[in-house]
Amino acid sequence: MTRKTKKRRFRRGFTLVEIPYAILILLIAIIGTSKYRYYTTLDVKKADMQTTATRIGLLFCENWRGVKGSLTYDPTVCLGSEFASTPISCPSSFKEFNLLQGRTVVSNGTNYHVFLLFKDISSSLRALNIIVAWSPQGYQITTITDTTDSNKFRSFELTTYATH
Amino acid sequence: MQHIAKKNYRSKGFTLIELIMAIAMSVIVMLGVGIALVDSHRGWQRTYDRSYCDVMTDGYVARRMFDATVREASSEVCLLDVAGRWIEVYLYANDSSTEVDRYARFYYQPAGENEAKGYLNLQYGNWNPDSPYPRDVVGTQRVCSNVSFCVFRKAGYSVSMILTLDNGSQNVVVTSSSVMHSQ
Repeated sequence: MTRKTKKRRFRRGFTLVEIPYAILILLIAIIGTSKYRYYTTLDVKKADMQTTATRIGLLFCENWRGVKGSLTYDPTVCLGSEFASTPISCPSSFKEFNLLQGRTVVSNGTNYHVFLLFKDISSSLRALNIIVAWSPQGYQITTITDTTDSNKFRSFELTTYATH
Repeated sequence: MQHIAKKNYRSKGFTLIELIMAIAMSVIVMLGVGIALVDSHRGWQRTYDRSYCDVMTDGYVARRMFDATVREASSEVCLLDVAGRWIEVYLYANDSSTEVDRYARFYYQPAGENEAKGYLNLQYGNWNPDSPYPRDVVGTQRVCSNVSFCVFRKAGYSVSMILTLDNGSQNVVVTSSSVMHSQ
């Protein structure tokens, strides 16, 4: 009689050890899935920012090159008031280039800082350098040297040439 | 005999309390899994829409078409509407052409009484400045729809386009600037 009762208790339900194991496995699966989704969203956002920065850089580059790299280039005039960008203060030179101006463009809630630099290669040839910098974490750029801080900022650089 | 019958009765099936508890736990688990699945699907849909929704693909097509046409255009001449609603560039048909003999006009057709949506269109054809009707229209192509705003600008040899596409749920601003290369 005692033996039969024991057998019945053993076969019913789960033990107290089996349930925590099951919960643990379930939690690992849920956390793994959440992490995968989190990094997928993050990577898409990063790729989107990189694409936007590239297009902004190309826009300024082509536009500035269209006026032969003029030193009086004003994006507000050349691109029109519909393309909103605000000037930011910056030093007169950076690395080997002279710094013409810096602008901030806001797209999808992210600030993209555009720096227009130039260097005269010869009397008729000018190198135009565009640096676009942005911060995925939302840090603000105060000067162009901040763009070298790769922990806080990402940047994209584009160089072209214009005859003048 | 009576004892055995009692034992069989107790070991078969579940009690009402067990059943209710099992159903309650299943419902909680299914709700959790359902919420996770719905949230996952929404996230995926949002990600997909950012790359492949109609306004995004239309904007991509408009940018590519504008860039490709303007880069092939002659830097000698270009017509621009005062309000920036249209722009006309001129091209060479082939390498043996000594003068521009093709034209391409991008123009914005805003939403009106007949059209619920705004459009960006491209009209193209042969160009003969010596003829009383210099434009021989070969075709008109609808570049993209859902255009709520479009303006063209010219600065030196570069031409830029600012285009806003809006399908009611998503809004995309497309900007493009290209240099007219041909001489």
